[in-house]
Amino acid sequence: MASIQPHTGTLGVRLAKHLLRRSSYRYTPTAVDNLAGMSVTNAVNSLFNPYTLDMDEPLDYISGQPFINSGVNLSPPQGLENFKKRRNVTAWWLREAEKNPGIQHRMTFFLHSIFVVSNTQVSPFQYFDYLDLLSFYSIGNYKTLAKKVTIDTAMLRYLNGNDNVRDSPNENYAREFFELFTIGKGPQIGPGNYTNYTEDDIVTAARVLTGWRPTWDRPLGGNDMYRDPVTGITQGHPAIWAHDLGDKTFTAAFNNTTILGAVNQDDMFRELDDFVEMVFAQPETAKNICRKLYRYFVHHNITQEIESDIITPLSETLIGDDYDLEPTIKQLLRSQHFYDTGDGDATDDVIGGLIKSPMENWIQTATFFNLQIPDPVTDGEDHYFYWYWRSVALVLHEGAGMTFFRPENVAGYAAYYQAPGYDKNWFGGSTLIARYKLPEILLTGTRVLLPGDSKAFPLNVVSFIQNSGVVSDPADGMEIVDGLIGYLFAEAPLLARRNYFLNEVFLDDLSLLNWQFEWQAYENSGNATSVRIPLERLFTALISSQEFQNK
Amino acid sequence: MKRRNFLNNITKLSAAPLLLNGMPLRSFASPSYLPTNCQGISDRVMVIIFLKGGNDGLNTIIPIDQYSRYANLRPNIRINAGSYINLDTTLPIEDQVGLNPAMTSFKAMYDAGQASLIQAVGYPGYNQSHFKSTDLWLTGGDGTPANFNIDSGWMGRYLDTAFPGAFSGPTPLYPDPMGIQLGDSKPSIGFHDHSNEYIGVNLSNQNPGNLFGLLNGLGTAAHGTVPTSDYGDNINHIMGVENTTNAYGGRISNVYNSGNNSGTAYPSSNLGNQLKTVARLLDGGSKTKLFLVHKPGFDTHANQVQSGSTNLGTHANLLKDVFDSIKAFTEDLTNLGLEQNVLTATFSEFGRRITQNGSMGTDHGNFAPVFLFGSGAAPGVRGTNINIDPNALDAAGNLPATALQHDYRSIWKTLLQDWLAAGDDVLNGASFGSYNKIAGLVTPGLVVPPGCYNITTALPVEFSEFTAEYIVQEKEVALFWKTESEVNHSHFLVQRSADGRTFVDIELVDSAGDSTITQKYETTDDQPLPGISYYRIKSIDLDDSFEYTEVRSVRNEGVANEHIKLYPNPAKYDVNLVLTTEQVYDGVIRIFDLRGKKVKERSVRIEKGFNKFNWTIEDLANGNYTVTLAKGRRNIATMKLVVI
Repeated sequence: MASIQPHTGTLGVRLAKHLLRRSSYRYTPTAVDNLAGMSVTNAVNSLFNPYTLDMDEPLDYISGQPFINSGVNLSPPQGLENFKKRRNVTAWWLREAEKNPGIQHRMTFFLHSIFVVSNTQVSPFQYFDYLDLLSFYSIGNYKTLAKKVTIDTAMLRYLNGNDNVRDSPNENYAREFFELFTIGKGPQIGPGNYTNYTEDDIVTAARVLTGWRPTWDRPLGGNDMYRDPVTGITQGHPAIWAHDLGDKTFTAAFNNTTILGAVNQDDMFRELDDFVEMVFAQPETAKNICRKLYRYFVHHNITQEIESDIITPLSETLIGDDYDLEPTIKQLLRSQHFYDTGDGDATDDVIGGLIKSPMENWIQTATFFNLQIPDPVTDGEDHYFYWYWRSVALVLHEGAGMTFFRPENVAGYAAYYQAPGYDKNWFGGSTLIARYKLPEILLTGTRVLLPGDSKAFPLNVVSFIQNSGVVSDPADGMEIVDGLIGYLFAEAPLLARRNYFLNEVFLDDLSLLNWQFEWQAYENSGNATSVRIPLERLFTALISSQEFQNK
Repeated sequence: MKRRNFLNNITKLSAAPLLLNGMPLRSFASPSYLPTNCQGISDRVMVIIFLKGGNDGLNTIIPIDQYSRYANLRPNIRINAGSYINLDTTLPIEDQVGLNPAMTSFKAMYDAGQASLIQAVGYPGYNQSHFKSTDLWLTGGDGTPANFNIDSGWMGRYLDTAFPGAFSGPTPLYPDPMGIQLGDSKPSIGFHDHSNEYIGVNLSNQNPGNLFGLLNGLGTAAHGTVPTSDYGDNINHIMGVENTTNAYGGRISNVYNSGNNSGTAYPSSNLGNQLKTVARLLDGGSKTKLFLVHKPGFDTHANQVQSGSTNLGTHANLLKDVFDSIKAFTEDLTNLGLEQNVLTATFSEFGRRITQNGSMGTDHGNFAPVFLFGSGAAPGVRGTNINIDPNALDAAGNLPATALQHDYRSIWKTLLQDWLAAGDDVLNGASFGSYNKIAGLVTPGLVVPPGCYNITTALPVEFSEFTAEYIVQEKEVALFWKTESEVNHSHFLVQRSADGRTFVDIELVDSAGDSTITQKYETTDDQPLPGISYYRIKSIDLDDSFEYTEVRSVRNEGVANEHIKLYPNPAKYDVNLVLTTEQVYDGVIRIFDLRGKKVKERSVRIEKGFNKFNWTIEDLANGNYTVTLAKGRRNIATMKLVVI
């Protein structure tokens, strides 16, 4: 029995690790310890504490200056400059994701994986605005976001909304709005009839959406038509000359609803609003969103039981809150099902049952071991170019199968939509090499698949073991192995497996006493060589273990 | 949820020794899975090119007999009448097509008898979603409810039916992965087998020549037993990917490094490179049966032609790259003496709308042409021009359902049998049994005769259990396995390894040979290695073919299991108790002062694995204390704590 009823009591270490792995990019020993002592309700609530950005926007590392909201009316940069500045936006977002102890960045990425845009087709401004918009609604109202993202400049560009004009509609956006962003396809019950909507509805929706124009420049000052009054974010704008003024009637899938054509430019906002409201008035829309949340946070396999016991009640919450995401996510993350406690069998399928994305994998590793990343202000080129671009974006993300903010197609990343494997798609013959190079990249501070320095400061495992508090007595080899495994693995390994890490990997089949002598010798002499080697061997084995790939 | 057949799958994916590593590949006698007089046929392969995004069939091949309709339907993006290439003027006018001017390479290959095209290919109940229609094409599905949600791929089903025993790492008969994927790092659903496991090897973005070097030393050792949960399922999946890639990595590198291209100039494009890699692997002796390569970018909603010069632009560039690459590939293969072995086919998830949209582009449509290449493809145009009378189109401007001329499954079925020698049972295994074959698709003299069909037989041995356990009293390892059936079976070899990779035979066990009931076998290893020993059973048939069970690991020494510790100690502000255990229970932690008075008590839930409890001791007076952990009435641990 899968139960949406809340799990109660104190979280404990095992479930605290589970919650943190699933809901935050940042994963530190302190955070695990803190959550472990909290009640389930308080622990989940703490993830929703407001996060204040460490830096409001990226810097241009050549000039050292901000370039997004610099106070000047700007035209977008061109060519290579455009490309470089988009890179800086990505680096900025990732750095904030590392620093945020809560759920917001994880949700922003969730929304990106649905409302997909590829950053290659837009300027750094539009890319930044798109991320800003998703962040604004990351734990906010999904329906409102669906209205605003429809006229987001990056989206208008990506799905040809800017080509969708009165006399020749382009239905690219309308199709994906139904299939991927909102209500989803039901069974095909007739030619062009997908139960929840039909090919005719796509044509009609495309007519509703005609006439929205991208805003290319960066308008500042009084040009409010280009700014959303609620978010303050630059958006696309209406052009009545390009809009289909007629009334639009949808099929029986939407109860033959007629949406009145706009009578003037301002009324186009009303028409868009009516259309989105119509789609979100369908309970199937809420269910489809809840299925996406479930696949993102819990498990890819949605059985009949999950559909009736989890998805349906969640969707009722979502509708009850008029599509405000926060109560629904909290309900899911507090549920007995999320913690595998709804039945007597604690081994059934949630904890450890998803494979981490490459981004989750490296950020959780880097934050746990307190990797020192070059400073964006004083060491801008190393920060933006060598670390985030050359090491993170090219090797750790792209090499491992995650073309970050640039998914291969509008369905997003295969891990979230491609049956039957879903998250297993992160792991294939063409991606495992880059993924398993993570420990080497972190330990050496160099890129290993492409030539050149990464110029991150190499991770110092010896100092971590000495100072992190994870291990009380570094001379006790068994505590080192148990402590690290305890924090890093979803479930306790069988004894034989733990002994493999202890005896073969760490001790190299020597004795615990030998390690004690080695450590004491290091403390006396300050020469870390002979303790660094086994510790790095253990680190490498744990980070590239099959267990650690799961969340 | 559905559980995989555990043993079966692990066997399929378990690490196998690199039997062929370092040996001169071409000196191998080439064993065949077909009768001996069909040798040449067993070398045949198929290369499938997926044109991703939905290729605009109508601007690829223009119905010359309906040019004015075409021009009216597509005023801004039409190929000009003087610009297209008439493919074959000898055809009846209603079959004559005008090629996009970028397709000079296709025309040349057609004229040389090395290319054909098939009109209006698709399936019933067309779905216009990229993702759904891609899945349908790759799974062998269609828009009808019965075939709408298939979780395995037709290529995977074909391969695992036709080549049993070919997926457990290199063997003399099957030294290579049977399916190789290039140009898309996502494991294609097309290569998912009957149990929904990916059985191809994905070489996308990898340098095949250095694959083994990069793989060497990655990952951790495999483990024996994993939990029965999705966590365990994932661990098995990851091990499987590691092992298959490892097992084939060395072979692929060797094949690639010993192969050569002939010097033919390929377009310097991603597709050109993919096909160049395929040619080189084949030259190096690869026995891979299906290559799936990818060319993305066909989703031309906007600006598919250059304004004013419709013979140029995005779509023309895509077509030029596709057909120039295939032509170079064919020339390269000819120079290498391999052309007669390779048949190449293209497909796309759908064609595009007959009417243009307002963005100099086209929206999603349905039926579209398929192209075949190689001397095995009987030259010609199959089918007739689509009818683009505006009155015949549906309301959206798409072809009606009746315009379907060729079900795509009929094409694959025909090629699998007439080109790759799949017998009827293999076609059934691929779920293509019920579709009609298309006569004349394969060049008449090259059609596989029925006597050479690949008829599959059941695996000689079906394992159901294999365990290895260290017996402390006896200081030996007990090995136990069961088979559910045996056919033409010879014997078992028990093998042991120190590292899980290199195995040596330690004992021969006779088998029942032929059996339809459960047979149990057991033996012992009285000299297990120090530390961990790995075991597997090699099962050998009367014809000397063999397979392995999964690998079991056994450790022959005990280490303290439980670990408990208090820190910091001495402590000033707060103290942690960390505990690693195999048990789950409700415990009580108590702190007593030197006089035995209880000063703190806390109930805790002890979980399997790592536990950590923290509490403040600022309120305790300086001095020595005793900390206990109790389970029920029994004290599990007693520790001294110093408060300073």
